[in-house]
Amino acid sequence: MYGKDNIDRFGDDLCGLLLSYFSFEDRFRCECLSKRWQRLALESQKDLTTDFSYITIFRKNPTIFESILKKCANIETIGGNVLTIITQPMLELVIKYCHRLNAMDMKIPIYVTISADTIDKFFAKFAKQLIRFKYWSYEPSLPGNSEISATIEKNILDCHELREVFNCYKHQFPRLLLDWTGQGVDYKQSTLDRLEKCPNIRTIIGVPTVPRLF
Amino acid sequence: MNGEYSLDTTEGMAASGDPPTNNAVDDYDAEEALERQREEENKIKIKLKSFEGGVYECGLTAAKMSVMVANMLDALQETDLTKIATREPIPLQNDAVTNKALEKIVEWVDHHWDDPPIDPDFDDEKERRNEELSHWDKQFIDIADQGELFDIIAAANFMDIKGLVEVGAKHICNKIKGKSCTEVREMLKIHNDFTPEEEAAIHKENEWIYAKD
Repeated sequence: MYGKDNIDRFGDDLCGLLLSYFSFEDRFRCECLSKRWQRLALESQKDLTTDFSYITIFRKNPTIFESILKKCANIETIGGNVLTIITQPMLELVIKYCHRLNAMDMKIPIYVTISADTIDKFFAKFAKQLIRFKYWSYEPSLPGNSEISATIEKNILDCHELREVFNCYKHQFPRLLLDWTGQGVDYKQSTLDRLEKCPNIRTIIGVPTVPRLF
Repeated sequence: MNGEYSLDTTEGMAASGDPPTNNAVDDYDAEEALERQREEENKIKIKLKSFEGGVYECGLTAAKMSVMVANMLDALQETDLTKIATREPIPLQNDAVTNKALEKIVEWVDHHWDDPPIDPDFDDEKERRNEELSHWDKQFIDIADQGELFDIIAAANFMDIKGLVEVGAKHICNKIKGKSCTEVREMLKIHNDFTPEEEAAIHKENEWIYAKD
């Protein structure tokens, strides 16, 4: 039996709930408390939502990013922050180690590109479970980036659980999702047909003028 | 969110959102009616009995903030709510529900009974979770005796009062902020079962936390 003032009197559920109020890094700080708290802390890492300084560290040291993804099997969300910079090695690690991912926010910096193959692999693994996908790019007019955008566009409407889609550079990605400008009837119809398979989409942001669909 | 691009530039739309109609007025009336009903029901007092046997009175709406109590009341299938007041006290069979803890819990629900209910699907969930505690809650939960504090949190968890568990969680979170591993262990009475080598390995793996600046 534990003393009344010993936090280990709490069951796993309650401890997990307490940990859910901690920040991403504070949960890692709890890892060193004891074996029980190490397990609880890692199990409770569901949101990889962190500030810019950390994401910079991960980008420069993919091994740190890898060690985190490796030990946190429950990660569901990556991002939640406009500054979540994702590079090709990072995305590959996400594909390799994450199994429960359902929300992804990524920003691709000007000097970085991600291969269409990796993006296809990402969607092949997560399309069924994604409920949120947000994407930013610094310099969409670069050839590499327009390829990324085309690949995302190709995949995104196969994510039938999606509720929220965000694409920042609407002007540079005229065809991503629902901007009809300059599009023919066939394009509109085929997009509508595909959208019907995504009944959960509630929010589409970043599109200038959108006709009401449902 | 002070990033380069704000998520709040809602140029788009809620794709399946209904356009506002006259129904909005009806909805408003229904809400008003519900609020009045909650207010009336809270005038009915019910009795709760702690694990130690102490009996405490509490407004019905307030008591129903405990999902467990609400379920127990539902199970009674009592249509005449005033009869609930004269019933035997509801026993709370968990050793965390001490007299002191139950007294504090009743104080909390009596203060919070008219809070909007917590909806986990609500878009502002994240915002609410990150919100600082109100002045009242801070004073309420600032309890010197840690055993008593843990009783309240465990009892609130047992009674399934989400809002109060959240207050406790945020309080503990604030208390351990900025403290070292050893300090936290000491405060929360956690027994360290790592060997020095194991602990050093974890610290090494997590060095990046401190490399931020």
